[in-house]
Amino acid sequence: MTSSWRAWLVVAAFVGVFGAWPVLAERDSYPVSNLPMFASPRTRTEPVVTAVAVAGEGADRRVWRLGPRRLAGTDEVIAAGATLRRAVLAGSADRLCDEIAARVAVGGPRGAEGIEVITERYDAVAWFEGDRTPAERVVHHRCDVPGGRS
Amino acid sequence: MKRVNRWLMAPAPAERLAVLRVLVLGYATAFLVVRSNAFWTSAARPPWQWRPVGVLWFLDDAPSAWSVRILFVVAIAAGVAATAGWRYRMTGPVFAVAFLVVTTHRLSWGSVLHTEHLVVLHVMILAFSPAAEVWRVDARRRPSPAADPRFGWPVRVMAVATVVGYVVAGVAKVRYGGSEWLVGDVLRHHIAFDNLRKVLLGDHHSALGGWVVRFDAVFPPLALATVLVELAAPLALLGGRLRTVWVAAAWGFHVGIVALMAIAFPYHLTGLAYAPLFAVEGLARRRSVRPRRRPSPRDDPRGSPPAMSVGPRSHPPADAHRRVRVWEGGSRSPRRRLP
Repeated sequence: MTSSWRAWLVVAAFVGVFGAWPVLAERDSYPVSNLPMFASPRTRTEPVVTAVAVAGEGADRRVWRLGPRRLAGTDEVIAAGATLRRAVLAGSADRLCDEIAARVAVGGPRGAEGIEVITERYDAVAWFEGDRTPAERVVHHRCDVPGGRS
Repeated sequence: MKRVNRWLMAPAPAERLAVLRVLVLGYATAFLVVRSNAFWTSAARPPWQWRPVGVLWFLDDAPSAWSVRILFVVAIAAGVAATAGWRYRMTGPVFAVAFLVVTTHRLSWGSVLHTEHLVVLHVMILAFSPAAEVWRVDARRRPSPAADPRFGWPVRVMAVATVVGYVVAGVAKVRYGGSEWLVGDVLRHHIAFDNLRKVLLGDHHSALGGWVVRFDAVFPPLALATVLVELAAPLALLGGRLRTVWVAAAWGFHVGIVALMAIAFPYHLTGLAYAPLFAVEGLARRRSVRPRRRPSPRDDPRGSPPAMSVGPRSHPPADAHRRVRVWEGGSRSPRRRLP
């Protein structure tokens, strides 16, 4: 095979495998992907599945936001969000809650008594304008932090 | 068709591929080292989170943590060796395969991030190309081979890979978002939602992005510019000013993503994604020449030819590397030394 033919074959394979095929097959994988990030329509009030650490009740109630490492054992926020969303969809919120509680028991925040796996829905634009009232807040599961005062 | 073939098969100096090898494989190796904590911890994530993608699609269960960590160490070692050009025919492919597998493993937990897609393609192209004919630790004193198509077409395939990525992303926006993406509030909502999601998931968000979403008039022009930059990527293959303008626009687009969404594409932000579009060996030559004498426009009035220009002007002279070698030899007037 001549060098020219080999070059053309490689170019054609690249354009076919990494350009045409993922678009036609609507496939988002790695490294073959239709690169759909930020492409789909979004509303102002998309739900976000997350988990918070809590302590106390009523007026004494305290809530801590947890970072990706506590939430899913990763430092990548999008991966953490996907793990939480998938766990809730699969009905595994209880298992995820226990895992988060175990990480919180070791790494804090100190004083946390329980973990709540929740879905929150805000108007995202309004949130940045100062309106932080949730349009919806659903608690999927609540579990105790080992060693927490509950 | 002939012009395209001439562009694809235009000879290039061995130094161009070698510089790309050092830049791209060096970046990929450094990426593994810098993100080693993420790779190390992902090896031990709970098995129920395993969702294999890509080359690991066939694994029903997550591979053992120790096997992933061994492969990770092999990838770094092979990356260092391949970047240095040491036993490249072996270390290049070993690094490419190991890099592909460890990065695939990290993305096989339910969320495919899109920051490494282009890196791994460039790594694979370089790994199977003659990118270590020069600038290698185990053959420092070998003479440079003449410019040849075999050093040129892999660079052009890398350039095509860069361009294809942008076009595919642009097509996705038009396809999934439609006209609403171009003229409506979709981009504004994406930026608002992405920043809010980061807040709710306890991560850093872009304060600038949070502030800008208050102004709806900003977003239709931004959205249009985004899609135009992505779909216009093939212009970069024409070389010259069009390429430079497009690269500046694409780089600015990534700076904008960092500023408004706190999402970094480091391979693009460092400019390495666009390196195959330029005659990057010029950087190394200028660097080696500078200590001796500042070159004047008389020496080389056009500079290095653009890598991707279509047409006869894009071909570097066959003796280009020799000219430089003469120049490097210490002459104060390189042209007079040429036969």
